[in-house]
Amino acid sequence: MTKASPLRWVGIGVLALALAVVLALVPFVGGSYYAHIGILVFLNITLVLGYRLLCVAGLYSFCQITFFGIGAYTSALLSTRLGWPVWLCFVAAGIVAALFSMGLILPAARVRGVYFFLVTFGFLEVMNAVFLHWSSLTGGDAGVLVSAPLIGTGTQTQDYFVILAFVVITVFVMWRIERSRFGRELAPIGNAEGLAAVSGINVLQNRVLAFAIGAAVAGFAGSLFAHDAAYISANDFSMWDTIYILVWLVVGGPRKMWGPIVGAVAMTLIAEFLRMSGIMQALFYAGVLLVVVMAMPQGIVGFVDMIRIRFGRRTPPAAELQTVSEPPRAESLVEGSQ
Amino acid sequence: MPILEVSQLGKRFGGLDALSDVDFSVEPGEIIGVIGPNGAGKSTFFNVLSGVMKPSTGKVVFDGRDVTGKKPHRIAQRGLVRTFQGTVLFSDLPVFDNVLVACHIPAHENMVADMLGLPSVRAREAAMRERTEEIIELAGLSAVRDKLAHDLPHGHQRALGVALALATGPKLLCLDEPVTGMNADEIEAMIAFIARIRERGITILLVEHSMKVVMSICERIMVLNFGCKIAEGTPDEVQNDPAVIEAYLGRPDEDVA
Repeated sequence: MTKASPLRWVGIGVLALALAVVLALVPFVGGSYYAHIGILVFLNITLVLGYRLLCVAGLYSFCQITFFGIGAYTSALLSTRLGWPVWLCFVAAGIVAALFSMGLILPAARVRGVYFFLVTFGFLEVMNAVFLHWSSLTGGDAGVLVSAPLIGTGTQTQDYFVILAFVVITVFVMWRIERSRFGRELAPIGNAEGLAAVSGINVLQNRVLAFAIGAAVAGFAGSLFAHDAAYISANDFSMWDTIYILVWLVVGGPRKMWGPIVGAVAMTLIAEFLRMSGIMQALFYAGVLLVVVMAMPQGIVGFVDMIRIRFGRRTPPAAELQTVSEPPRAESLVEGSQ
Repeated sequence: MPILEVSQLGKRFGGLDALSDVDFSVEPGEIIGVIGPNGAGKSTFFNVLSGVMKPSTGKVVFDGRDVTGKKPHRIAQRGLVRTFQGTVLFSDLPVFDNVLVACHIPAHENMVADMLGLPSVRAREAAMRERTEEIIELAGLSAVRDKLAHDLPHGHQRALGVALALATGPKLLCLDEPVTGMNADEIEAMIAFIARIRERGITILLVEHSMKVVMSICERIMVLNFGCKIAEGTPDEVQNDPAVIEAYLGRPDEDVA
């Protein structure tokens, strides 16, 4: 913005460059294990960013992971059964997920709050039953083996960069949405639906759009997941996975866009690095969640913001958020807590 | 031509006529009060005007167009904007951001151009910020522009509510009891704010309990009782109208009995 000093932009540029270098080096320095963790973090970021869009509009759904699953199955089946090229499967995955979401939201937008939550929970369970029991289509218990690699020969490093590109695009699109009229209208809808409507905001249209965009992002991510993992089954899209998305959102704080990014990065890394410690993983994970929910009801990012406001520093207006420079902070945050 | 023309407007809840056969019109630039005892139908009247409720009978013509039963956001986009008693858009955002968001609502823009951040969009963004500052100043909120909405005292919160409605660019601004629960200083500030809004040529329709406020700022007053219009006229006329006195104070012979 005009008021931001050039120095600030230089700082952001340097941070972004440093982040880019670090992210580019991960698979080469860390090997395929770290590439794998990177992929996990990236996919989780896109899932939670898509989910945030609907939550901002007041649509606390419980089926974000289902759209991820629909995308994954769409892509896997089109690739294995019909032999479609992977890029086309990817495009179809997002579109199919968005179509499913429209079919759900058009009737479901009539209900609010906990009822909406339950309707979407029902959708999650129904789709899970489809994934699990419609064996002739989905392979049932056995799942689907996806032989087509995402790109090239399908090494972890190649997948890493494809999915990195996807997350960068997703973050960029979400950032632009945030600054667009559509994006600005979502929060008033979530905050005070009646007031939003009499102020000239089309509540239903915006909600449907937010829900469909969120589902499309999850669908695209699901396609990438299917071709990267090379095997999918109903277990990958269970109730627990949708709870994790909610956890990332709550831990990071939903109000600003980089909140859920921080949440997804922090919680995914915590879970991953404590994997070996067995019960400690669950305890620590739950501990972090409890501390955040009780001490920082607005999430980590909301907490940081609150401190900035309380101590007199003017908050940057929503339009000036520096999404690009945030992920490194999340990492240093996790290191600090280890 | 009147900016708002309401004819035979009625709203029925089951067997109860919350509003019946109200004829009413507002000329551009006017400031009009709607008063009446509790349960007189003032809120229903507002809800029907703004599209929150569909009328059972009658017609609402706003700015030359029939808006009867239209969706609230459509009516608001036409320029008929109302406030609610004490809701703000983002209770946990600063005053400035609250108004900025509301400023964006009337802007009709291409979503793609918007998302790409084209130069035209940037120019408009700067204009929006200027407008936001202007409205905050008009509302007398400059001193608290960086405070969170929920940290504001009651009077400022109400002023912010009106500022948000103003930011959406109304032709007719409907204020729902803007001074309820305010102390004397806050009421004075609100009256001054309403006067400043009027100077900008915005027509104002005011529902208010406080007779003092209505009498002091409105040019014309409509009185509702049990859903019917019982009087209309200048403050003086209304104050001396026997039907109005009866509605507020009861029939003289009831006291005797």
